[in-house]
Amino acid sequence: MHMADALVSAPVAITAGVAATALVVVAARKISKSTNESIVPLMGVLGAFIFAAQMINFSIPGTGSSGHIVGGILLSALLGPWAGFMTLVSVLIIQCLVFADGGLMALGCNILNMAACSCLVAYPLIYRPLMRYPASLTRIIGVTALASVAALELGAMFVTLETELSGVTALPTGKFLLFMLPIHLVIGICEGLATAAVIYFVQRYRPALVSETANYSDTRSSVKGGLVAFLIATVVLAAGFSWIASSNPDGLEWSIMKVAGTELEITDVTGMKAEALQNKTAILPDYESRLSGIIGAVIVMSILWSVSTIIVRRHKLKENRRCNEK
Amino acid sequence: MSRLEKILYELREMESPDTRGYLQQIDPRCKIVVTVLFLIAVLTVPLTSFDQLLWLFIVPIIMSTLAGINYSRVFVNSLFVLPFVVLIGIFNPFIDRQPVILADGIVVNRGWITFGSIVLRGLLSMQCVLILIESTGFIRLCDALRRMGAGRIVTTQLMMVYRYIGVLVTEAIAMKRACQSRGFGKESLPIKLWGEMVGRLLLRTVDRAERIHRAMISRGFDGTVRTKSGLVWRCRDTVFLIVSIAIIVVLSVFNISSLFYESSLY
Repeated sequence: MHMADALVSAPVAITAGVAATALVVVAARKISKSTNESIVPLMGVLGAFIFAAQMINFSIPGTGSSGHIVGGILLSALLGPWAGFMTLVSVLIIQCLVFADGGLMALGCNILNMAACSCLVAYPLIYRPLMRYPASLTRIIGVTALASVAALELGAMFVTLETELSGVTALPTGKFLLFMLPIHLVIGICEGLATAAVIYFVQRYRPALVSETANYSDTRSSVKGGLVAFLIATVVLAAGFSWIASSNPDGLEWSIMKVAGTELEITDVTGMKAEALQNKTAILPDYESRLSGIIGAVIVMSILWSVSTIIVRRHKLKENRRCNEK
Repeated sequence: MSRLEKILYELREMESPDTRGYLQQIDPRCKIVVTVLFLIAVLTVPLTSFDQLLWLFIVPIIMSTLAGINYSRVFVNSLFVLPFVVLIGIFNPFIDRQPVILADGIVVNRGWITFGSIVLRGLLSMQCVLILIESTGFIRLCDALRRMGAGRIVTTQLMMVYRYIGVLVTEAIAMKRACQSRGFGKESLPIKLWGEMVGRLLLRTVDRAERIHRAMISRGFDGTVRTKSGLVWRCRDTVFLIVSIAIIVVLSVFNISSLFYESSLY
């Protein structure tokens, strides 16, 4: 579900980034007030654990394929919603920066789609009210599967919304949802089963680890806080997205045009100004991607690429020679 | 080399970035600002301007040259982004069938142009992040983020996760290897066994976290990871910032390809 930068437009990325930053700030405040002192190193090492656990695959029965854990519900069950959220955010940032998994501009979207949906919505709304420790295997499977499916489906809906508002895909929203939701239903069930297997194991061999988290004195208020913060983030998103819808003719108008089959007239003042500016700056206002322009760009880039390779190689050879002389 | 071992290798490589290139000597804060501005520029170029996006490749090529990194390697590594981008963009050519004239007798669907642009966007954004991290190193980047006002908890968390990924990936490799050597060629595990294995890894992890915490407290840890920060903003950083912004603004506002239309037969 990691979104790449190619799939978002600047206004969507910035709006989602602002909402995600607000959630991270709230999470940091909650964690710094936490009475549990060992939470910081535990978060650090559990982040690394999620990263390592993602490398071990389980086989999906009857399909011949395999999957791995994503970890939002598991982290919340072990650390509580806010610390779980922060841990997942740090994993997402490292995946983005170090392993180039998901884009830097799309990071805000990814934080909302994956971390917020699972830790701040599915965990407090589904997992916490339904789970009572010690729980039977059936209960653990049922609750984790339900929470994981809810988190992933909500995340998939956010992905659809963000991609559509960015005007990247020509697929109408309905068809896009039909494409995304069933895939994420299957992924959610697998994620739920995997999380259940780990939680069952932990409950059997180290019951304090899960039940202590559930009994933290500040859980109730933090859950309430989580929901309030998520609601605020949603309002920010809605406001930002409606602004995009009114001022970005390239994004929403295009996708509406696809659905309606007609071009919309730009009525608002900002849109008209933008159009006037575009007409002034663009040499060919109604776009025609001329082959000569494309070929020219490709040739220049190839020459630059070759020159760059030669410079870097020469530089390295010189450095090596200097090292050998020393 | 398995995927896990490759990750370990990459992490070790990143710990000791080559500091000889010009870009490595630029302040990381300056590089972060330039990267974000470049990404915004990439995302604001309309999807229909395929040729304008091609010109934006000037930036990663010049940056990789300044960093002394072979651009071919950056390009190949950025191809990693393709599967997901292609999955979302591939519908465009079949749905958006509005014809676009490229040259005399060459007409394509607008969907193909936007699909190509999505792929270019993916490559561009991936390449600039790769160059940023390869020329800076993760710890220095976190330090820069902290100096730019990112919260103490966020940067401490990032540094700790990064530090312990190596340790836990080594454990995961050992467990995976033990399974593979007893698994008669099976790559993945049945879910029950997988649960026990990952649960075991988790318990080891938690024990380790407790030991780490006690050790840290005994050495005076107060919630902040201290780094030897050598971040000083110099004159060359300002020059680099101004020149980069100028290039990015020109490339995102002005389509250089239009010069070729005028000189062509149209």
